[in-house]
Amino acid sequence: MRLLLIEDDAETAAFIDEALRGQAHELQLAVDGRDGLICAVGGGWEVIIVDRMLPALDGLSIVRTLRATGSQVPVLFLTTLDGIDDRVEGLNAGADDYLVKPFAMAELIARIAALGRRRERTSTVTHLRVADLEMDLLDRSVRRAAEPVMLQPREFRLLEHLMRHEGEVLTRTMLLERVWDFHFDPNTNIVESHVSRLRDKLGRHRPELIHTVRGSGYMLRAPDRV
Amino acid sequence: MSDTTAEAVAGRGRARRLIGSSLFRLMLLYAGLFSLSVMVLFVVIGITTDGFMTRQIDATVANEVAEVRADAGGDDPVRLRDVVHGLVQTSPGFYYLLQDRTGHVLAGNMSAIHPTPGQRSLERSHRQYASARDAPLLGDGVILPDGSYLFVGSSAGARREMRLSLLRAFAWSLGIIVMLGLGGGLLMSMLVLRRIEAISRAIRTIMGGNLSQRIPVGGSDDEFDHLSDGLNRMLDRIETLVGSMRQISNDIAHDLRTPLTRLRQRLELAHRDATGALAEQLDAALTYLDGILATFTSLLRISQIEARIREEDFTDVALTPLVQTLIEAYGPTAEAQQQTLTADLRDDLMVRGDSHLLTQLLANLVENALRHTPVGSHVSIGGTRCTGGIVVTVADDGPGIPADQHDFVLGRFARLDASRSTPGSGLGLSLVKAVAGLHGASLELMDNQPGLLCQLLFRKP
Ligand SMILES: Nc1ncnc2c1ncn2[C@@H]1O[C@H](COP(=O)(O)OP(=O)(O)OP(=O)(O)O)[C@@H](O)[C@H]1O
Ligand SMILES: [Mg+2]
Repeated sequence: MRLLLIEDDAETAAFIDEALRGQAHELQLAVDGRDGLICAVGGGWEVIIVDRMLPALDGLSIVRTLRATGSQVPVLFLTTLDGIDDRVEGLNAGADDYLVKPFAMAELIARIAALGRRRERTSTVTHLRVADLEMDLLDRSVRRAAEPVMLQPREFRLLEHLMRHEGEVLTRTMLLERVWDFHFDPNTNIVESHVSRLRDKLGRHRPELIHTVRGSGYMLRAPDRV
Repeated sequence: MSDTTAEAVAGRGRARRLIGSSLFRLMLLYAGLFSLSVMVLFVVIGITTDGFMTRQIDATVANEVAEVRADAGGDDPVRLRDVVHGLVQTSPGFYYLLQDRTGHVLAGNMSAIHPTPGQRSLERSHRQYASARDAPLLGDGVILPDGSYLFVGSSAGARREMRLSLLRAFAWSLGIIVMLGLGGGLLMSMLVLRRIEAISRAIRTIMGGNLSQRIPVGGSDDEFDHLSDGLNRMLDRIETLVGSMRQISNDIAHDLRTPLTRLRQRLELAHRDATGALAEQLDAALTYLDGILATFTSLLRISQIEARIREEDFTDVALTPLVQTLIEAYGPTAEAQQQTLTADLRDDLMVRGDSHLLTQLLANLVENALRHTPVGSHVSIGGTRCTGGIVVTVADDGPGIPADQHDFVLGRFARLDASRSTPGSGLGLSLVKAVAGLHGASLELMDNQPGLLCQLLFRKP
């Protein structure tokens, strides 16, 4: 993926640069707001990562200007600003995701991947299928190997999310935000306990579909065919 | 309620406010005091004039007695009788009496009286053609050398007239003073009340969260303008303080988060390259760091919520779906600990607020109820409407919190000894309290007998 990083802290930029290159991404760095905006408007990016507090021009203005030019490129704020209104402000400015520093690299990578693929997905699907697991979004039914699986509403949403993002890592925080709309860090293993139940319901004895990615999150993927 | 009844009720309310206003009461008091002083004034004037008129009459009659005797050229009864006879015809303002020592009237236009010498007042009329309306007589008598008695009197009618007119004047002035006092009081209270209400209206919007709103200044440079001006300056100051408070937490957040970000990145890089025991150490270090960050975030968040008075981005939050999400989220956890988690909620409960913060508030309470109670306990969320507003409760049947610790556990980092071994930082209930405060809801911890019952009362706006 072609990524643009607008970040004034050299150390953080180097850390991200190194990690993302390892993920076969192509990254360009802009170290102040004005350069950043020029690069961003220049186009050709699949995801733009923006700091909020930047020299010359702040991140919010960059995103607002970019959106005013009609650009739809996914933008992720990566910022130290964690006030109760900061997140809403960032999203209202036109960003697609908001990640607060300090962050875990795995979290950033997962979110970039999710943003990058977002445009490829059509939201009008009525049917999801991964290996022998099928989900009908119209009558809200799930079958594994043609056998019906009874799920509670929240488990259904969790599975739907995992299936829509087949082959992608979804972190605990992403799932909390998107499945439960929880924008805080609960002290309880909510995601873990739900995934565990889901695995039970999908059949422990069958090949595992939901995989734990150590240090990152979960991924739903068809078992490797040999 | 129809418009007219609403108006009538509003009008009645306004009238009651007007009459109940301290200014109106002050005006009443003032009018009362003023009437009292007018009364004192009238009494003084009355007494003075009365005395003056009495003295005047006394002098006149004494004079007349002397003149009668002078006209008679001595105290010869026959000459005196003639003089008195003549005077009765020519001096209509006076009353004369000449009686001999036996009390037999010799001349004059009066009936006989007891012969007392000197100045005297005759209450009962002794005039010849007396009528009930007659005023008393003031007069002067002398006992002549031969024992006969000469008396000259004058009617005190003028004095009575004067007293009456003074009384009438007093009654009128009193009436006018009371009317003016009441009317003026009402008018002034109305004027003053209007300005005070403008000020309190402005204060209410400011309390509602609009810190940039200012109190209107009339421009007449009176004490109300001075008051508004003072309040406005105070508001300027508060606004700056709140602003700099926000700025400070932003600065702290930024200035601490930047080095912490670098620290975390270094640890992560080192962790990626490490193996064996070192990797384990670094893993633990990362976990601790994330714990510190979580505490730091919670602390900042609590003080931000406490400093916030913005209600403008509040929305109507339906409680049922919110509680349903919580039940679903924490259900598996409860089940794993053989606890039950249930909700009993009226399904049309709406609260004005921030749904993210309200979710976190209830999540903290549910987490506490699941975490600080033993295996097999029951946790229930309730919600009803009551006269004061909407009541939301989270109750468990665990060990509870002793009543004397209820205030303590709401403080930052406060944990009971029994919870030392469970994970947590003691900030959960502080956040609950801050969010409740932001929503104008009262938070009360109660004994559930057994267990803890946390009750939130969202008052009607
Ligand atoms: N439902 C409950 N039953 C018994 N004790 C409780 C209950 N809720 C809270 N407490 C006591 O009050 C203390 C403070 O609670 P609080 O939620 O503020 O902190 P915490 O739960 O210990 O940590 P965290 O910050 O993770 O929430 C707890 O440590 C516990 O001792
Ligand atoms: Mg707690």
